[in-house]
Amino acid sequence: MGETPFVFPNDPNVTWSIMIVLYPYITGLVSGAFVVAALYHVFRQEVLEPVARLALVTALCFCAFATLPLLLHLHHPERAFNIMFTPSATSAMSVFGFIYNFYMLLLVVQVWLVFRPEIVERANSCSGAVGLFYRVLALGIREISDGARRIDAWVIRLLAMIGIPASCVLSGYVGFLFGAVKANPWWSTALMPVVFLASSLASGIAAIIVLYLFLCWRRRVRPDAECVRALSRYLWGSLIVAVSLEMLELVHMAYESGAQWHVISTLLTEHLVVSYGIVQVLIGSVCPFFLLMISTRPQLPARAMTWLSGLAGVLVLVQVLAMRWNIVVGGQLFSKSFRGFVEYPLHWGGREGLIAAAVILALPLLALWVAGKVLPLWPSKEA
Amino acid sequence: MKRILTFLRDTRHLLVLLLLIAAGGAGFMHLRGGMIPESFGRIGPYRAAALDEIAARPSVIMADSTCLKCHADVGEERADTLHTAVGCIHCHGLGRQHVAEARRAVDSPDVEISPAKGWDGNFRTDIDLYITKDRATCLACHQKVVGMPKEFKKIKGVPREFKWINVDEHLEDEEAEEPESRETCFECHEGHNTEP
Ligand code: HEC
Ligand code: HEC
Ligand code: HEC
Ligand code: HEC
Repeated sequence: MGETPFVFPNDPNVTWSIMIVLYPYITGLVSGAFVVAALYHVFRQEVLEPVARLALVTALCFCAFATLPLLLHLHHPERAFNIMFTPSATSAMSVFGFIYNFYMLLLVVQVWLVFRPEIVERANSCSGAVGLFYRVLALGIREISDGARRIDAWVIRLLAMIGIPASCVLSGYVGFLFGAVKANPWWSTALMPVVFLASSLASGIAAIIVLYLFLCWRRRVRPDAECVRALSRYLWGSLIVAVSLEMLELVHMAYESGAQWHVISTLLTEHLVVSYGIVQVLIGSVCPFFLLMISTRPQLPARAMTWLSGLAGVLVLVQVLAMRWNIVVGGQLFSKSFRGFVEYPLHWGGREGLIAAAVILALPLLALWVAGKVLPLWPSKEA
Repeated sequence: MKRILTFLRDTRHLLVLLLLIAAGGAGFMHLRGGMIPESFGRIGPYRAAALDEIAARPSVIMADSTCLKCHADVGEERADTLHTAVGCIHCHGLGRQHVAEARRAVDSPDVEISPAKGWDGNFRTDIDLYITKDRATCLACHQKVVGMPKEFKKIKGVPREFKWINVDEHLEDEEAEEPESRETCFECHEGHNTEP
């Protein structure tokens, strides 16, 4: 007795599946989209007005489903709430429930206040079930004075101000979870939260560009060129920061050439060639960098600019997904004894399969579609 | 006075909202009270009663003493070897069905004991009882690997280094006839009394 089994490789399975890839991806989209809305509300970036509401509602829709991949990953999802009923002060994971709920509440209140004039208006003008729905949504208060509007504007701004650090905490926290895994050299760096934060911003802005262009196309409306150009500029900036940090981290590891470097370099050159080298770096970072460099030039015609920005947006979305994949799955492909690699078999079916993942990514968009029916996503002067 | 009244009028939606949030928070706290298990936190951040519940579960791992009740001969073979440290289940599987069958066979002689199977090479195999001469079983313990602590598997704390071998060197030094064979170790060693 008392003998420890010591069989290599000591971690034969990839336990954190594609669901754990989606979770930081979705939270990243949430905080990135929120920041777009906050740029308008807090920093008064008036060019962003056409997308401000869309960004806010997008953040809410994605936030509503951010925990779904985690629940699917759990074998006892019904125990998920225990993390909040009996939180452990020393567990980083247990903090998540509170950060997430605080943020979700903030988003709901913010969305409600932003849309309150329309909700009240519809509560008064619609009748029957629809009217009742809006009256409940208006919490029974069916008038809105100028004073109330002023106060609401102030509260919205205040919430957006709180929301910026909160969304940084939300996405940075996800990076922290990985960065704090001491045994994993591919994760355990202090830069991890910052890397996650920067790429979250990039992915959120990219998502808003793509959604905006897509919805404009569906509504047969010409997208606001200045707005798209401004978004592209933000996307470009955040992409540069994100990719620089990612590369900085890698270069730092390579230059340090610590005991773990041999396993990490093998990981990158043999096991993540496609998802890292080709998808994340070439297609996802280098291509959009040049596309955005061209598309932010003021002399470019609006049509070409929207096309380039849209394409760059899609590529950045792919980049960030690949980055999450390379971190989450990549970090589990090598044995923590630094000897030997395992495979991650990705299946179509099953609760952690590709189809489930696709459904999870589609649900927020479905929610967005529903939200578009219930609330006016576009500034009134346009409609 | 009038200004206060207008302010209250203009902010009543926020008040309603705050009330709702407070009600939600109170509901959570109420639910929480009902959801925390009784013995939670008495010893640490877990349910203290779980310890007794787990201890009451039937054991999955068969102790050598269980096997030796019927296989006394094997016990004798191993008696003077250092390999008494190695559990039967390492080389033969968990043997739960085997023990159950064998126990039934003691009472009713017509119960047949299923013969042992071969091993599928998986240390987490579902095969209940197997006999194997695969060198992988030996090398799981005897191959020197990076990072394995020096004092690993010292028997009863005797301060000496564990008997590691470098497989290729060992087979060459001892002049194994078929160094490539999976069963090569058994040219010179046996499963129970491993002394060469
Ligand atoms: C290090 C591996 C190893 C361990 C530990 C081990 N055995 Fe074996 N055992 C073998 C091998 C190998 C054979 C096959 C021997 C042969 O066919 O020559 C075997 C054969 C047997 C047999 C078949 C009859 C025989 O003697 O050939 C029985 C019964 C048996 N073992 C019981 C046990 C019991 C009981 C224990 C625990 C006290 C045990 N073994 C521990 C390797 C092991
Ligand atoms: C209740 C008595 C009993 C117990 C306990 C018991 N065995 Fe056996 N075992 C037998 C008998 C009887 C046979 C002979 C069956 C035969 O030869 O047909 C046998 C046969 C075997 C064989 C050889 C099977 C074959 O096909 O050659 C192995 C190996 C073995 N036992 C291992 C174990 C191990 C390991 C344990 C402990 C987990 C164990 N036994 C516990 C009674 C027992
Ligand atoms: C579960 C681990 C384990 C397995 C499996 C195992 N051994 Fe051992 N072996 C030990 C231990 C422990 C010792 C005693 C070493 C010590 O005390 O330094 C030992 C000692 C030995 C010795 C030296 C015996 C002596 O008296 O000097 C030989 C030879 C040996 N094993 C061969 C084998 C062979 C052959 C196999 C495969 C059939 C095998 N071992 C499987 C753990 C194992
Ligand atoms: C050709 C015969 C032969 C073969 C094949 C063979 N051994 Fe040995 N083994 C020996 C001899 C002889 C000794 C004793 C050497 C000594 O005491 O210096 C020994 C000693 C050992 C020891 C104890 C080492 C020590 O430091 O005391 C272990 C462990 C061992 N062998 C494991 C294995 C394993 C595992 C295999 C299969 C991969 C294997 N042997 C194959 C002949 C052999």
